Amino acid sequence: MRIIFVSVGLIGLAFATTPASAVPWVRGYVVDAYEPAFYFGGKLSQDDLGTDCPKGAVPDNDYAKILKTSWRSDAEVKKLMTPVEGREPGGIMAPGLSYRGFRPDIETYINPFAAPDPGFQQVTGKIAEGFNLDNNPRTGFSGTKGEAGIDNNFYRVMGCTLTYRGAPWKGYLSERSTDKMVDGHYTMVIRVSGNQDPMNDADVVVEVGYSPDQMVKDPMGKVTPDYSYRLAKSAQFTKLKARIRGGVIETEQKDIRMPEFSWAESNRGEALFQKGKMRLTMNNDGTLLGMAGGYRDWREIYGRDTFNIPSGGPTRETFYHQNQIGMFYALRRNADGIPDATTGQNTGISTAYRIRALPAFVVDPRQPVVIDQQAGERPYQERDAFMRALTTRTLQAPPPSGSGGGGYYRSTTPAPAPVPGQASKSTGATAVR
Amino acid sequence: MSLSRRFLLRGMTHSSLAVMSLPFLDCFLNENGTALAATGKPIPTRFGTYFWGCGLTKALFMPASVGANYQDTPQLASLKPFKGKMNLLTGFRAFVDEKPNIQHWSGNAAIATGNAPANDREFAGETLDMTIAGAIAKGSRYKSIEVACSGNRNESFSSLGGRNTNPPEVSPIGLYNRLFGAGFQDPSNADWKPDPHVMLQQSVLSVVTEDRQKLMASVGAADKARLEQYFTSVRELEQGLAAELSRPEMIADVKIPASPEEMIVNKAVPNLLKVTPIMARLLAIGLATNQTRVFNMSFCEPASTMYQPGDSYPFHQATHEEPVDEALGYQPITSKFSEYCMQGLASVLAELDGIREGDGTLLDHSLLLAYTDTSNAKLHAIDGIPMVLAGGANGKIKTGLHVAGGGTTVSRVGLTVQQAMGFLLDSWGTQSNQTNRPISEIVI
Repeated sequence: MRIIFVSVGLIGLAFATTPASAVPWVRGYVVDAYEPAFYFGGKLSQDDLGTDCPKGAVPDNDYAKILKTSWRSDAEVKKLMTPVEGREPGGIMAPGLSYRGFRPDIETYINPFAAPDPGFQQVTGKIAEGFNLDNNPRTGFSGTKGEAGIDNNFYRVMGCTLTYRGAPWKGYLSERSTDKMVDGHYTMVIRVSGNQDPMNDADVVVEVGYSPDQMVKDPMGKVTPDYSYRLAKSAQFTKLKARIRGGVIETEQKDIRMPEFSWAESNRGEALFQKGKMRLTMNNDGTLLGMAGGYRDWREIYGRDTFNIPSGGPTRETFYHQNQIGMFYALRRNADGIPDATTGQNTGISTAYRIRALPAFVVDPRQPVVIDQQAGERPYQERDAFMRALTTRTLQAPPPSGSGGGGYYRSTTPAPAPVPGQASKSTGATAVR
Repeated sequence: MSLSRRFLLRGMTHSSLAVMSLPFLDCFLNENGTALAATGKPIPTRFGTYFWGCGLTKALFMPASVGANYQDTPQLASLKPFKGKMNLLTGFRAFVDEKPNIQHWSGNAAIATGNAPANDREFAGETLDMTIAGAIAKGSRYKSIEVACSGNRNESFSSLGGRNTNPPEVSPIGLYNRLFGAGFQDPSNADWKPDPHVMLQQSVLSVVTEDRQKLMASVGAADKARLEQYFTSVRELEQGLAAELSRPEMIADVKIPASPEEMIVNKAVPNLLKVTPIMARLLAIGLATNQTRVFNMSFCEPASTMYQPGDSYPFHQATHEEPVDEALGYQPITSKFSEYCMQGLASVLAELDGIREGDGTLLDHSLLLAYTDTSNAKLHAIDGIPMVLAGGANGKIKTGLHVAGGGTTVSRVGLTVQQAMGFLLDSWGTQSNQTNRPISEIVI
C-alpha cells in the first residue's frame, strides 16, 4: 500500500509540471451587465429598510425647504411648487431648483458651493463590496467575506439613493444602463491571455476596452455568446498584468481606463479608475464575473450625474429624490484618495463596479478604430463650467439657453434678476465671495 | 330596375319634383358585399394609427403563448371583445445602429418610418401613414386627419419627415368642424351639389399652373426642391378640392351626428377616457363618409404626462419614480396608466367595429396600427415594444393571433402594413431596420 501511495504522489507531481500547461491561451468576453458594486442590505425592493440603509432609500426632497433661500419669498416657493396641468414637477421647478444659492443669479448645479450643504442620507452599514485600494485594513468597510479595509466611498455616498440601490443587477440605473448597453449604446470587451494553465497562471494579461461592434441578441433579448468583437485600443483601453489562482484573476494595481457606466448618450465615455484593480472569476459555464475598482474623480461623478440628457439635475432631484447639492458636498466630503498636488484635497473617491461577461471572440481590428465621444452639447458645456468653477474658484454662468435636448429639464428661463446693489455676472465669471 | 347608391326616388307633388334618397342597401354592393356593385370598385381599405406613450407592463400584458387562442391578460382586458379582429405583436426590436438611443423617441420613430432617428423629435423620413395616405387618399376630402385626445397641439406623430408634423385636432368640436363643419355636405343628402366656393378655389389654382411651371424652370436646384415640396402640398389641396366637387362615395349606413358639446380636453385620465371615444366616433364617421381614409390618433404622448387628478405622479414620472413592487413584480401605479391607454384603444376599435359596411364592419375594412415608444418605460427599453394591428384590411390580414417577433426588426410591421394596404413593396427600412420579411403569420 505504501508503494502505491508514493506512486500516486509522483503522478500528481508529474501533472502539475506537465509541459502542456505552458501553452499560450486566450479567452475573450463581452460584458453583458455592468453596474456600481453597491452592497444591498434589504430583502427585495429598493426601498426596503436594510442593514445598509436602516431608513430605506432616500425619500423625496422637501422642496419647500430646498427652494427657500434668503432672497426667494415663501410665495415664490409656493408658486414654483404649484402643479401645472400636463407638466412634470421637474419641469415646473427646474428654474427654482437651478437657482438656490446665496444670490439669485447663481446657477447652483454649476456652482453648488454657492448653496449651503443640506446633508445627504448615506450608507451607515459596515459591509461593502470592492477593493482595499489604499492597502490599509483599518480604513473602509468589511467585505462580504469578512475582508478588512474595503474602500468604496462612492457606495457610502450613493448607496441609499433610489436609483442606485437594489439587489445585484436589479437597481434602477443598473437595469436601465445595462438595457441601453446591450441595445447598442456601447460594447465593452475583456480579453484575458496567459502562458500556463488558464485556471492557474502567474503570467497573465488582461485587456479591457470598448468594441465598435454592437452586441448580438437572441430572440429572447439576451446577449448571444461566442460572437466576434473588435477591441478598440483607444483612449478607453487598458492592458494590465495579472495572475490567476483557481480561476480567479487578480490584476496589478494601476490606472484603468475603461468604458463608463452610462445610461444616456451624454454620459457615455471614459471612466478613469486611478490606482485601479480588477478581480474576475472565470466560471465553469464560461462566463466571467467580478469587479473593477479604483479612485474616480468625484467631480466627474457629480458632473455626469447632474449634467446629462435627459435626466439632469432637476430630474435627478424630482424623479429620483437626490439632492444634487447634498450629493456634491457628500462626494467631496467622502473623497478618500488622489490628493491634489497643490491643495492636498482628495480628488478621488473609492469605487467598485460589478462586471458580468459572456464568452466571445475578442480580436484586434485590422485598422485602428476610434470610439466617438460626443462633445459640445449643453451637458458637456455645463460640466466644463462646473469644473472651471471649482478649479478657478469663480462663479460660472450657465451655457446659453436652448442647447439642451428634449425632455431635459434645465433652467432655460433667464436667471432671476440680481438683487439691487450686487454685481451681476450675466456674462463670464465672478469671483466667489 | 337598376339601382345605384346614388339612386333617388323621384316624383311629382303639387307640381314640384320631389326626391328622396335611399338608405344604404345591400343591393348597392356586389354579391359578396365586398365591392360597390355600380362601379365594381372594392370597398376602400382605410388606415389609422393609435399612439400611446410609455409602453405596457410585461408582467400584465404578455401572453405566455403565441398563435391563436393566446391567454387573456389583465392589461389587455379591455381589448378582449376585439381579440378575434386584432393581432398582438410582441418581441420586435427597434435597432438604433450607430445612432443614439433617444429615450421616448427612437422606438416609435423607428416603427413609424423604418429608420432610427438621429435627433430627438425628428423623423428620419416620411411616416408610414403619410406614405399610405399618398396612395389611398385620392377621392377623399382630407389626405389624413390627426387627433390628439389630450388637447396637446404638439402631439402628432404623422410627418413628411424631419421635425414637421401634421397638426392635430385637439378637441371634439374642432374635429367635428373639420370633418362636418363648413364645406361639408352630407353625402346622403339628396340635394348634394358642389360648393361654389370650392369651385372658385380650384379655378384659382388651375390658372396659376402655367406660372408654376415657368417658375420651376427658372430657379436653382435647392429652390426647386423647396418649391417641389410646396407644390406637392398644393397638388394635394387640388386633389382635395376635386374630391369635394363630386359626391363622396359613402358606403356605410351612418348618420352625421350633432356637434359635440364643449368639454374639457386635457391629460387628466377621466377626461381622456371621455374625449377619446367621442373623437373615435367622429373619426369613424369621417372614414365612413369618405372625408378621409387615413387618421392618426394620439391618446398620450411619449413620456406621457397623463395624470390622475389628486395623484402626485404623472404617468412618465411614475414609470421612473415608482419602485417595482417586488412581490407583484411590477409598478402598480404605472401599470394602471397603461391600462387606460388600452381602454382608449378599445374605444377606437369599438367605434370602427360599430359601423356596418357591406359584408362586415368598418374595422374589417380598415387596418389600425397601435404602437408606443417603449416596452419597459422605466428603462426606456425599445426591444419588444408592444403593438396591436387591428382590422382585417378588407381580407388582407389574418387576425386573432399573438405573434412574437423574436428580436427581428419593427420594420416588419410597417412592411406588412404596406403590403396589406396594396403596396408592391419588397423591402422597407434602413440599416438594421431594413427588412424584406413581412409577418407571414398574418398575411393572407
